[in-house]
Amino acid sequence: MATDLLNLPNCGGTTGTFNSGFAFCDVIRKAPKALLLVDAGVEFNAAARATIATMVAKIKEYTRAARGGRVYPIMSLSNFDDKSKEATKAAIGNLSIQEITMQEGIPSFTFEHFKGELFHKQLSAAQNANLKLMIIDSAYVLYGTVTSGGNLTAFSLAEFYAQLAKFANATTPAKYPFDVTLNDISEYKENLGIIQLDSTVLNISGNRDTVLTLIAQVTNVGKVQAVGNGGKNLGSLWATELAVTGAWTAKNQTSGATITVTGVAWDSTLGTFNVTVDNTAYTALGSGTKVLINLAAPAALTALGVDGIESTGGVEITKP
Amino acid sequence: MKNIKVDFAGFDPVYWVNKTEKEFVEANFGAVPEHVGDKAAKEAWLKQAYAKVTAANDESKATTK
Repeated sequence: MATDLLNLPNCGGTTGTFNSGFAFCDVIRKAPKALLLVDAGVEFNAAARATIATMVAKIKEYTRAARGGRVYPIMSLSNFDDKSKEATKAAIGNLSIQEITMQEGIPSFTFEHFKGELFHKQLSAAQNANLKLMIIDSAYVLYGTVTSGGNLTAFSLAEFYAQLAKFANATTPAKYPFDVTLNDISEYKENLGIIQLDSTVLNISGNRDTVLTLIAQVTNVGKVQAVGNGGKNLGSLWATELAVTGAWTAKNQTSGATITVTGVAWDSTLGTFNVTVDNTAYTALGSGTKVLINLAAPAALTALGVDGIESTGGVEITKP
Repeated sequence: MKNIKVDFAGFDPVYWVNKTEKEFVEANFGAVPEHVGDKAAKEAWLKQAYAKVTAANDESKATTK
């Protein structure tokens, strides 16, 4: 018999989709253990989701990707509170006792970390970064949302807010809280997507900020100090790995043209990497032209054995 | 040549393959670490570095033959 949906309400008939049988195997939520803040546009396709290993590898790869397509993991959470607002209801009229849901609940969570002041300060920068969120619970289940194209992506956020850190007192340790509020209930309910991972996902780490300082310039050589967040000179950790031309970049600040880095030497006395740029190109520059020397991108540094490092910005040497 | 260890220094062998030792020394003089010493020592350090670069190129050629 042919069907016609005209004037056919959804009363469990042709248009019904509900069933009450339990899934053969299901997931029960556990407490969140880690978060992935994600740049908009990052998605995990079927190839990435093929195995736990490929999925974890893809997440790891994204943590070192260029900004705009990066994942920022926050591991080692120390506390969680579900602050989700209940749905609001209203009577349908004063002649009735019927109440219906007027506004959906709002998923909102407060997390705490115990990593310290510098890390908490970094979280403030995430407030205006328009990031999205994936949640990993203590059973290593990754929660996200499924796009119309069938890819797994992160929940969009209405707000990411780093709360004020609190001092310790006689009975309570210091607290470093931050809030997340989701933006779209459909992403969280109808389009929820989960992937069962394993403990290897906890090995993923974020990038540490590294501040470059120009200590001296000798013609075409910039003597650059690289200090990681927390005050560690990278030369004390990776003197060999960073003393290679592939670990550094240089460009003409005026034209944007790349200038070849022709040599790098670690100077233990100054605590600098002495970065030499192409002498011919440098000599040809006009007076006053600046050359920006910077560390290579995180993925390139990872390939050199310097994992999880990103420069906050380059230093300039000037052609006299 | 005075034997100075050129630890933790990387010069691009491809870039320097057709450059002379003199060109190498002139272009990289500012890159020599402070502890190396006076002008003569710095030149010796650079010549040692140039030898390493040349050796890397020779090794590369041998590998690709």
